[in-house]
Amino acid sequence: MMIDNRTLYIYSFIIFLIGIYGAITNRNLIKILVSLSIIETALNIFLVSTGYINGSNPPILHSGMKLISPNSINISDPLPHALVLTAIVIGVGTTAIGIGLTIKLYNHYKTLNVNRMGDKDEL
Amino acid sequence: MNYNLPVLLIAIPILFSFLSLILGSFNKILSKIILISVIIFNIISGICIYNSVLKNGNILTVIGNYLPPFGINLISTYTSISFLILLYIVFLVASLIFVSKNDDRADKISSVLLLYLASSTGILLTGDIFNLFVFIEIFSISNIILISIKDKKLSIKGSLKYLIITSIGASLYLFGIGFLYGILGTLNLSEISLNFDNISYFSKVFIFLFFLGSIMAELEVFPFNFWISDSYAGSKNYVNILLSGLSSIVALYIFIRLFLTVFGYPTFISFSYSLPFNVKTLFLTIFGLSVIVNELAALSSKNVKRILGFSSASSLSLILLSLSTGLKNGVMAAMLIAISVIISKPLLFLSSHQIMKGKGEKNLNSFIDGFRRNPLFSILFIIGVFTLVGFPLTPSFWGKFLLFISATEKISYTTLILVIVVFSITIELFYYFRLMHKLFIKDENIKVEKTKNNFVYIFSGILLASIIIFFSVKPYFTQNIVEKTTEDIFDKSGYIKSCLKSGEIDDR
Repeated sequence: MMIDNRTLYIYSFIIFLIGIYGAITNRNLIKILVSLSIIETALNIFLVSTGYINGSNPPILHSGMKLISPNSINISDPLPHALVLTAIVIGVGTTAIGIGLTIKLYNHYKTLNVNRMGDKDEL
Repeated sequence: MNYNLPVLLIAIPILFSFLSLILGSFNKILSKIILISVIIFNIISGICIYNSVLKNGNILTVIGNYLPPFGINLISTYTSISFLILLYIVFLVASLIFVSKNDDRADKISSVLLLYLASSTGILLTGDIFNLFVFIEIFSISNIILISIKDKKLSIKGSLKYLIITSIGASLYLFGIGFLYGILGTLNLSEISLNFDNISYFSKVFIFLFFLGSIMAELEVFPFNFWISDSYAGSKNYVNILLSGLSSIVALYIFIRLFLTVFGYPTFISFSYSLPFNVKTLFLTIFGLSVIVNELAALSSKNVKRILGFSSASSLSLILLSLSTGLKNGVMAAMLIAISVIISKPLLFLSSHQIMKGKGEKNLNSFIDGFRRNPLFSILFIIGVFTLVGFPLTPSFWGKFLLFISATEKISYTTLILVIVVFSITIELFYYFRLMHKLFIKDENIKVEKTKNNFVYIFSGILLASIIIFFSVKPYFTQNIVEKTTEDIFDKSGYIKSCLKSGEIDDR
């Protein structure tokens, strides 16, 4: 089944909205971080789909390919893949720091619920 | 001048950030020496580039011989390089304070500080929109780590809140980049600015909204300002200086490049936007609301660091409000207010820390009898307050004066701008004068002991105060810098030409 770019954009936007909904409504810190990861996944799908051309070949040079001009070769754009790789690395770093901070907060408060992390006594 | 010098401004801090970890494991002092040496190198190189930009105009640094619009390039403009020097001075102050303290994790913290320096320099110099995203992410991660250094409940909570907000902001920004790349097929800022008019209205609105959302999350703008209360109150003194001073410069520059260079169409005296709704009114409403909310939050706070934190967020919103008027006078006003805020906010954090030294609670009452305990830093605090609220002859005074003038140029915004500015000045005066009044209240029951000031604090405080006084007593010097910066911001075609100069590359 062929999927065109617009369908991919819509899918990624729906996943993005699910992530935003999760980040806003959840009270559990781990669930908030999972929602952030969902947002990042949506983004990666969106970025990859911007380089996708319907019915195109992967951007790998093989022996049967005729190199006449760049426009005549039906390949997908490889640049967004590189961008997505960078975005994934950054996303993993952010999530790791988030989990580290969550563990520290859990050690302080013995809960992951953000509503139970009052700080009036600290001021 | 070597045209590859701008690359070294980013590469050297990144290299030494890793070396500082390795060498610091042998001796902690080595990492501190590395930090100070790198910042001194950056200041000297920054001044060399500034002189070169003054003589020859914008400098384009091509990386890997990939000519723009392909590959990554750095563009040193007058605005970016003057912001950079201001940034380095504030960073030097923060680093000196960090170095003066004994910390077991000195190697790790100096490594993060160097990453912070590299990323903020990268944001100011890069000419590539995806590269900008990477630097913003490194900047945010360094900020998150620095906020959480204190390892208290409040600081960890503050950094986690900041992480969530910046993650959402970065995602929105990346969505905007994806849209732009999908439509225009380029990531080069100049190429995007050149071809932006060819995009359909619908796509323009989408891209604009994504960028606006991300910028609001990064710029402490209401309703994304809730992380301020914990982040400022829970973090260390030098982190407060970085958050209030450096973050403002970086945020301001991102706003200028995205919303004035990419979306804006500058004429001789004003910016316009070709979008189906009134962008200026939208900006004025958002930033105006942010000024009011942050001022009220500062007024209702009891913790001094929170007051200063909300106050710096409000000042940043006021700068953005002036920028979004889109008028030449408004942009000049923004630059003048920015100079005051960037220097006076670190001074306020520094002096308030010294005044409250030895007091357990950092609330309003810890300022009582501050003048007798610490006369030097009380005077420095008063200088900082006068600069921030716009005492006559300070850059902030001229900035607010110009903002009034620009408000009268556009009759539809006049009332809104005037109300917001007067409101913010009044509230600011009220809570700062409340603090200053506490300094002179004498507590007869307690015997006052004079606070011993560290030499580094005295040096940093006097350095910042003398810069403010210099800018105030040399109005023509300040005017010259501000006018040049404004001209550079309005010179969109100059920025594009400096990057896409018809394929020629100097043999450097």
